[in-house]
Amino acid sequence: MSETPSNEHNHPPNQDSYPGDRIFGWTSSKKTGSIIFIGMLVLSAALVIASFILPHRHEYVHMAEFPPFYAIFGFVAFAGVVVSGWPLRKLLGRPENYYEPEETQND
Amino acid sequence: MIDALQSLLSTTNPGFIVIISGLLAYFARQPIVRGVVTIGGPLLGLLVLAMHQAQGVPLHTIQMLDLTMVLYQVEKVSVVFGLAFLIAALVNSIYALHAKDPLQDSMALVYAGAAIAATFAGDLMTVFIFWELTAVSSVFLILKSGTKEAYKASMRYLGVQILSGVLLLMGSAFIMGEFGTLEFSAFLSEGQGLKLGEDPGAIFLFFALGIKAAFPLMHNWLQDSYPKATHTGAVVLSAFTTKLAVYALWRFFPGEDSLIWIGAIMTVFPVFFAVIENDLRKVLAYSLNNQVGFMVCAIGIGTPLALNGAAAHAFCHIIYKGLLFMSMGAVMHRVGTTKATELGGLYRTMPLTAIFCLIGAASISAFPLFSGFAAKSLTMSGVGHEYEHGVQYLWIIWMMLLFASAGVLEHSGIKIPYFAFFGHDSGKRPKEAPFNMLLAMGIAAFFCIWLGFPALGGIKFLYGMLPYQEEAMAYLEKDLWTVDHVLTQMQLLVFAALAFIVLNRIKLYPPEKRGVVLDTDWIYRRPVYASVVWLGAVWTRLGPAMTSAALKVSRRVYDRIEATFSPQGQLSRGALSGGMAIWTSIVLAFVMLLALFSGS
Repeated sequence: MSETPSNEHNHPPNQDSYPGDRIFGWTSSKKTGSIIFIGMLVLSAALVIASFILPHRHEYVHMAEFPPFYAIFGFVAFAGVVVSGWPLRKLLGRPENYYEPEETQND
Repeated sequence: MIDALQSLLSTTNPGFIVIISGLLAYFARQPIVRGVVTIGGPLLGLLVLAMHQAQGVPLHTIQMLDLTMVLYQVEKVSVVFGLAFLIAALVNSIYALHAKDPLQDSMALVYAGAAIAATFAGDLMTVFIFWELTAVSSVFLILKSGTKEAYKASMRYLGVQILSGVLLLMGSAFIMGEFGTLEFSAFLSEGQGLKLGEDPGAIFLFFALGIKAAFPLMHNWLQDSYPKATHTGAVVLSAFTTKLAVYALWRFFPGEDSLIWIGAIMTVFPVFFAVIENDLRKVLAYSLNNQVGFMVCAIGIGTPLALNGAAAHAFCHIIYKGLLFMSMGAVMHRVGTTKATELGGLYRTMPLTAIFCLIGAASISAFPLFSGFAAKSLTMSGVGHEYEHGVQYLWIIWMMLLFASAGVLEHSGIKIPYFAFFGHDSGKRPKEAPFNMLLAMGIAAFFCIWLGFPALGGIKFLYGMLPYQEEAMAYLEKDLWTVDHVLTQMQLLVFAALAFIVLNRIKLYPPEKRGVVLDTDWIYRRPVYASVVWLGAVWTRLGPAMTSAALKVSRRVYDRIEATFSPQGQLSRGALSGGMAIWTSIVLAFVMLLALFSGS
């Protein structure tokens, strides 16, 4: 007995208002991307400035005592992971029916 | 009467209550009755746990085949894991109320109950029995998907899980030989576990737990099977198996150095797989690996601070990981897939699910004010503290964990909610999740906030429950909420999120693409499987030819023997010239001559 998805599309896709619009509607506005980007830049700058203003902090690993250490680490680590996705997908990515060529994959 | 009942309940392993309610659920054909049973079982289990009267001593023992089995013994650490398991069982039962499937409801609770029972067991044989029961019962949660893919994955899953059980039994046999008993009190003491290489059998136990905890290279049963489970089953699976193994590692191998590296590698490598994986439930499976890595590493460090970290992390993780799986389960239920390429923009009609998913994402990413922050900080500090006290190589481990923390934000913090609920609009407008699912997600979301927001008292509750309570409370007072700690964590997360935005803007973020990602399961699904198929084909081809050749040879030999020795055969032809008699005489003469000469 499989659980069939109840794929009930009650609303036509082009309808203008949905319940979620009240909470998240702003995310699909064209300007939102730029606003979030600028907002994040401001927040990032504030966090770095704050780390310089605050008194010298003690860290277990001394390298981390450099005020914006975590900021640089976070950015580089995240970007490194994401960019490595390109070669990794070439190396490890396979078509969906790789293991079961005769069947359609099904979740 | 009431006293007798009270005394019975206070000495009953809460896992048994949950298992019994699971068995009853199968026979409760009315959905309402089944709902009462499936929710009532974990609730009664919670009550029973609250009623236990002593810790560190056997509360229920039986004798079986010369073995003393401690069916119920409460330790501080087992309370942390057991309570989290019971909460998860309760939330999962609510989450599955809409799915009218008695067998699945039943097996989900038997599985949860088995994990709880093992957590409160006081000897290895009891652990073994419930270890195997978790394997056998949980396989139904994958099988019930009903697809051929799920069937094959469930068989692979069962094979791996049973292997873990067999190794556990082998290890137990050695322990029995060495200590004459399987009771934990004989070979484990406060903060002291087994020593690899010293205690016989420890290596088998280590690998038994390693398989279930999904150590690197033994991990892929998890990514292979969980995403193929039913939408409710994956939620249940995410809570118990790996955390039961973490609990067992905590008890048997605290301070085992190799766990430090194993755990650190576990935190790092899934990050790379998660970034290119298209199926969001599989992304969560990799993320599970990464999270368990933090706990394994902390157990390897083995100090009170780090061991507290492992237990606290497990407690919070069971809840927020369950929440993330629930949100993806809701998507699966409504849309029929969790592939990122087919999702996007679901916030429009599933806003509540989106909010709950975001709360789970914030918790797993360890944003301050969410549960992950309160839990993971203990582990990070535990590693850093030991480095400062002279364990030189730990700075590499600390860096690896920090790298993995940024990685968590990538796959669980951003990728899951972004590609499912935001991102490009898939045009799909499914209904919001059913009420029971929303309620379950709401409860889990509440815990994520309660355990992270200082004014709500959840952190105090969690830290107060930890095995090394004094150290935990001292950490809460002095270290957790310092300006530096909050600032540095925010720097890490905000800059990582900034990297996401920048890479997206300059189109360097790899777009989601349909396909599968090769992992270690490739070894047994391709070359090993192909070898077996090839051997089968060879046998099919050569088998008849070899059989007929063998038959021909044996027939020819038989014909010759018959032709020579039968009454009509050559050696029987003619009475005087009977070859047999002549040959016998010759051989006899030869032997006699030999004896004569050798004697002189």
